[in-house]
Order: sequence, then C-alpha cells, then structure tokens
Amino acid sequence: MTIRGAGAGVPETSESVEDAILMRAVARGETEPFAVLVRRHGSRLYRIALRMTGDGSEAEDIVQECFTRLWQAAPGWQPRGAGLAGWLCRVTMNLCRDRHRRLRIVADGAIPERADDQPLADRQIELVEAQQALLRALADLPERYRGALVLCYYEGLSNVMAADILDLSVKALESLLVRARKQLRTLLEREQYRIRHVRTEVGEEAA
Amino acid sequence: MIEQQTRPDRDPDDDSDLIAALAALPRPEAPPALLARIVQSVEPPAGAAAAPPLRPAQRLARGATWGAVAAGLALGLILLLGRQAPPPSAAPPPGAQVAAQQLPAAGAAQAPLGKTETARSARLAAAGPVTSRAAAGRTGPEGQAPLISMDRPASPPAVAEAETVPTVQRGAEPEAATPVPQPVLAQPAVDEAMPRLVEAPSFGPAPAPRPTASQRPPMGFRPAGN
Repeated sequence: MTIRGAGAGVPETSESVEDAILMRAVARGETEPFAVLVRRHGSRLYRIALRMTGDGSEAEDIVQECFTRLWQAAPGWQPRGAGLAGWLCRVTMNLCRDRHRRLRIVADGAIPERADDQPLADRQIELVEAQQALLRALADLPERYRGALVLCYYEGLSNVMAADILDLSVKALESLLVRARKQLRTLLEREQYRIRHVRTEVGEEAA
Repeated sequence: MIEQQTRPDRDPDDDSDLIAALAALPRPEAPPALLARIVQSVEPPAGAAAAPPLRPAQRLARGATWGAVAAGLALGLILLLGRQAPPPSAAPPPGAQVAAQQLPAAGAAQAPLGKTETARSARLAAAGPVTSRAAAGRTGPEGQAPLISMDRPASPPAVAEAETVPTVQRGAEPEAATPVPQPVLAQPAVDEAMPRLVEAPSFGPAPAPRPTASQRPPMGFRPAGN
C-alpha cells in the first residue's frame, strides 16, 4: 500500500502489481486468487466501512457487497489510478454513502469490549472516553469530511490516493482536510465539555 | 490524550494532536467468518461440472415436453400405418359389398385391385359389343368417355358410388351380353339412416270439426237450459 505523502501520480507498488496479476486470474474464474485479495484488502475495507457507518454489521455487509462487485467486475477490470486498492476503497465509500442515505449513523462499539469484569484503571477509562468522544464527533461530521479524515488519517492513505478515491483533486482534498479538522475539533471540544460536565455531576452526587 | 492536546494555548494551525488521535483509534480486523463467507460466496459448488438439479417446475416442463414428443410420434406412426395399409377388419363401402356379392367367385380371387377407370375400361372391353340400351348409354362413341343418354334415368348416387369403388376386379363380368345389374341395395341403407317422421300419438277420437260461421248460433242466442 502506498504511504501518505506520495507524489503527483499514484505510484505502482509491488502489491498493486500483484493485485493486477491476481485480478487476471480472478477474471478467469479462479477462486484462490480471489481469496488472496479478500484476505489482503478485507480488513482495511472493513475498518473504513466501520468508521464511515459506525455499525459493525453494516460494515460487514458493505465489505461483502464490495467483494461481490469485485468478482463480477473482474473480467472487465483494468488497472488504473489508485489500482485495485483504490478501486475497492472507492466502491466501499460509495456503498457507505448509499447506506448513509437510508440509515442514521450510530457510533457504536468500536471500542474493544472488556476482556473480563475487572474494573478498568482510570487511565483506561479516560482513553476509552476520549475515543468514544472522538468517534461521536467523527460520526457527526458531514460525510465528505468524515471520508477524507478516515482515508487520510485513520487509514493513512496518501493524499493522491485519497483524492483519487474521493474523486477530487489533491488541492481540493487538502482544503477539505483543513475544514474537516476544524469542524472535528469544534465537535470534539463540545463532546469533552459534555464529558467534563457529566463527571462533575457524578462527583458531586458521590460527595 | 485528546483532552490534553485540545488545550486553549495550543497552536491553532497545529492539528497533529487530532491526527494522532485519529490514527490511534482502534483498528479492528475483519472477522474471519466474514472473509470466509465472502470467499465461499463465489466458490463454485462441489460438482459444478454436473448439471444443477432441476427445480420442480423445470422437471415438470421437461417431462411435458418429452410426453408431447412421444405422443406426436405415436400419432404420426398411427396415421402413417393407417394410410399405407388399411386394417383388414375395416368394412368396405356398401357398394363394394354389393359388387362382390353379384360377381362370380371363379377367377375373382386372382384378380388384382385396380383403379376406377382402369377397372371400368377393362370391364367394358370384356363385355364385348354393346347390345343393351342401358349399356349403350353408358358408353360413348369410339370408346370415349361414357355418355349418359337423356332417356335413361340417371343412376342413383348409391349406384354411382358402387361403380367407382376401387375394389372392382378385372374379368369378373359373368356374361358379356348381360347388362350390369344396377344394385339398389345402397338406397335402403341411406333410407334407414334418414330420420323418419313419427306420427303424432292419438289421444282418442278426433274432435268434431268446428262449425262454420253459418252453422254457429247468432250472437246473444243462448240455448235453453244453460
């Protein structure tokens, strides 16, 4: 996978070359190369769908639908732009956009569940609360902002690749990222104010 | 973490804390069951080379098709056999029966079947010179097509049908000078087939005829006692 900060074009990596070779085999109906592609890209697509929708089951459906489209489009697929990874991310983003029109985003258990019933340390509680606040703020962002932040900062894709996935120019993506960060910070401060307010109320009741 | 990095004294253009917080979010892996399900969803089923099992509707349609084909073949075979060789049990037309009854048995068994015109010309040739008036009316001049004289009553349709029956046998005429008898047995068959008028059942003696106007009593007259 290309790393953020790449040049003007999407560089061709060994992975993208392998993807193209595997896609030719998938186009012939071979399932083993398809399984390799699923294992290689499945988790990233799942995370993107999860961050975009905030729903684990929705994310699974989206990933499955994405690979189903990959299987169907394999005979006519041509490597270009961001390669197969970019194509998969674009399909995933489009599917998330389609689902978002029908479903309300619910920020849910992206935080790992507790392994046991032992009480968490204060630090862990704060970390979990901070992440939940960030996820809620992310979920409250407009979809375009959320998509740019998820692709560039969460998944660490290059601006060139993210711009290709979002069908934007690199300049437009950079401007979009600035606005997205600004709004996310505003939402986050609001969330943290709410958290502090809740903590204060709980402390007063305990005293 | 984020709480510390969103202090009011931070550089407003520095979003590194936010970027770091986004990058530090949990990164769950796709469930293995999901990946397995995706791979299995495109794998061809075992024995994909064999034809898939037919659904009940397809099975029914295929069976109906074969049934129709078999029925058509059987019908065509029956029609073909029926045209080439009529069944021996089939009864000949009434006219043919009459001709066979009036012909002598000698030599009749060896006579092959022939067409109508051929049989008639052969029969006329064997009959020799025409001596009877009826036969003269049936034979045209110079052996041409037979003519029907105006003074000879036309043969009934049943007789004509009997003369054109293809079962006429060559050399079966008993005597040349004897005119061919005109069978009339076919007519009763037609008559029997015709519906007959049934007389209306009688219900006692016929009623007395209605009196004429002159016999009726004048209007207003009432016989005594009524």
